[in-house]
Amino acid sequence: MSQFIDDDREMPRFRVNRKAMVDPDVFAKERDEIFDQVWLYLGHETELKKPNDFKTRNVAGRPMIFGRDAKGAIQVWLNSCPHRGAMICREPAGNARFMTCFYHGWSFSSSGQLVAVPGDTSYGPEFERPGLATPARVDSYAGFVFISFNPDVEPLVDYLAGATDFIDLIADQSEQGMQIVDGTHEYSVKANWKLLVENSVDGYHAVSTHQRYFEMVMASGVELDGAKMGQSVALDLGNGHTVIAGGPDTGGIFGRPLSEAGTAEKKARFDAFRDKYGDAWVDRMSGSRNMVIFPNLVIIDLVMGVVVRKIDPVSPDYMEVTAWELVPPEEGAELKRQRLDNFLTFWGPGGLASPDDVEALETCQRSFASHRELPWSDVSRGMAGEQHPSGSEELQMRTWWRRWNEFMTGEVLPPEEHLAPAAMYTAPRPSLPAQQPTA
Amino acid sequence: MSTVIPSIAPASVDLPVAGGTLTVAQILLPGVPRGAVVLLREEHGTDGRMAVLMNALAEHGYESFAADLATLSSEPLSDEAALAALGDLVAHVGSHGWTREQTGVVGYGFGGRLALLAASRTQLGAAVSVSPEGVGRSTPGRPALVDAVPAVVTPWLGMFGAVDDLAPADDVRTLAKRLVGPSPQYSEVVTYPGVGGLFFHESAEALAHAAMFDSWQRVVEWLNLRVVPRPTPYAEIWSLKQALGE
Ligand code: FES
Ligand SMILES: [Fe+2]
Repeated sequence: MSQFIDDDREMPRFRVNRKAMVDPDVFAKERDEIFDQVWLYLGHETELKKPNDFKTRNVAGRPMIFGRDAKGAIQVWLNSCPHRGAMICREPAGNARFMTCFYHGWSFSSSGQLVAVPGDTSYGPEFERPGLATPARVDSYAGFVFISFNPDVEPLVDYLAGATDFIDLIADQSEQGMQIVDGTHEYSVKANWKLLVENSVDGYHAVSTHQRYFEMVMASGVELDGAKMGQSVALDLGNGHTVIAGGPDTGGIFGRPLSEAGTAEKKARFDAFRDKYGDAWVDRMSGSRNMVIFPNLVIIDLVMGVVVRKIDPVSPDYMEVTAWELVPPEEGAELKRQRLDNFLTFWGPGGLASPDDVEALETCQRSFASHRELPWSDVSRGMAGEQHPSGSEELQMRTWWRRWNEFMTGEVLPPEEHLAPAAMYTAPRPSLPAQQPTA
Repeated sequence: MSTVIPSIAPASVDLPVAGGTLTVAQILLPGVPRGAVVLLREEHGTDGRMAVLMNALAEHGYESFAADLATLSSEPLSDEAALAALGDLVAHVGSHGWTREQTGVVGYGFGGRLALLAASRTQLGAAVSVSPEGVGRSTPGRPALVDAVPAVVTPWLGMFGAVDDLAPADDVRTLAKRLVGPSPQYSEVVTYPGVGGLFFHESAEALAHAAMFDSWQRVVEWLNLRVVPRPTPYAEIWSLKQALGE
């Protein structure tokens, strides 16, 4: 048995050792065995609108430049000067065809070539001019750009496995291609990064942790539909990816009510999707989904806002979080306004939900000081019985942890056996060309 | 823009262009200059200020070519006539070995207007318009810029004074809305609070001085981020080797 995971199929019971949340050696090993091996989310193509647009951000601790070159092609660079290491770009975002290192003045083009070296005669004509360095692999799926520092990593779509289905369910919500709204939510949490992974697919905590939010929603005149809220499954999507999928029409249940005009527009949009994709797929589209793409990308389609959340481990007890909102650009002004409002109210760092999650996670981390006395956290909910686990049980966390355990210890734990989920949660996409984003 | 480097006196050249002869002030640099800048003066501006700007550009490695296209005619020059002459001026810059991508255009007032019009029609390295004339108002031969410019194909920076009667805030907003989002190339509009359209002149007044200083910084940054640098001989050798697949 691994020192981190107690996966007892007899009782049954599943436990995670809290050492995994506090130990610096675990943290270092995660960097080597997970983050340096797999595909990691960098950003969405629609964040870059014009040729030479760029964003800078960290992936697996490395400062990166995510940009378009002069011809508009996506380019990804390590944000470090090949001369003697200074950061080439110190802005969070901008537009530049040429970036000049401020240390000694070497200039690089947006396609990575070294174009100017002050006083270059000192180098001699044979000198090999180093361009910007790239991560080993770059690829994208439906506009989501991933990178890997492992040259031998499997192809991205193989890695994403069953998660592609759920990305399609989001990408199909726009004829023009879903777009990231300008701007980011950035916040940090004094807790281990894995706690936010768990929390992002935790249906169990909603009613207790987010009582304040629900009271606000009910005060705004919404009657929460208990039957609908209970309708969900947790799915193992392969490779550690996992999702809670809600039943038809659960996508907006937690939000404040839409105006009449907003409701009508939304209905018209979905009616058009029904003509194109058929009822089974659109029923799935209209449901909520909380997905984790292993290890640290979260995509949640709930309260009518699609949040894309990247979780960055900084130290065992500290993480940084960046979140974006993905929207269908063709939506009318009123629906868009309500979508942004719902998004901000629920997901915003100063909203009525996220701060409660942060508080919960930070108290966990503080109490993990007693991990020697109380070593195990319990994640067994929904493990017993044949019934396929619902989203308010904990199959999704176990799915993720088993994969984590495999990378960290080499121990392979078989998937759980349950009855298949209801067919409506897995209805296939009709074979239409995939929806591509447009910048 | 103050400098301890001795200033260079621009040379004056008479250039035959469409519609007459244009007096061009130019500063050419030894070694391998970084790029070239066409400076288009405001109508009936002064040579002295241009010489200061040209020296400031030289400090950043730019050769510069300055002219007041309005001097070509005693009548107000039409956009089309001015752009034809500007085409000849850019060709003159080309005769000094500068490609269009290695050339930026910076204009003030009427010159700023021409810089924007050029940015909407030709691919240059970069374009900057400081207080461009006629944003929302047309005069004979010079239609309002909000109507005349559908989009830019050269990255364009526009800078305005917030209290400029000749460029009302609503017109500037309309122009920005038209250009910043939809254009195929990146563009930016900056408005300086509390100053009129002549903010690019030195002033003892604090806001105007700040606007003058900031706007010049932005001009240089805009050029440095976009004008393609001229390769040195060693850089040429290297890119040749790259092209030959060595
Ligand atoms: S470290 Fe970048 S130029 Fe020297
Ligand atoms: Fe929560």
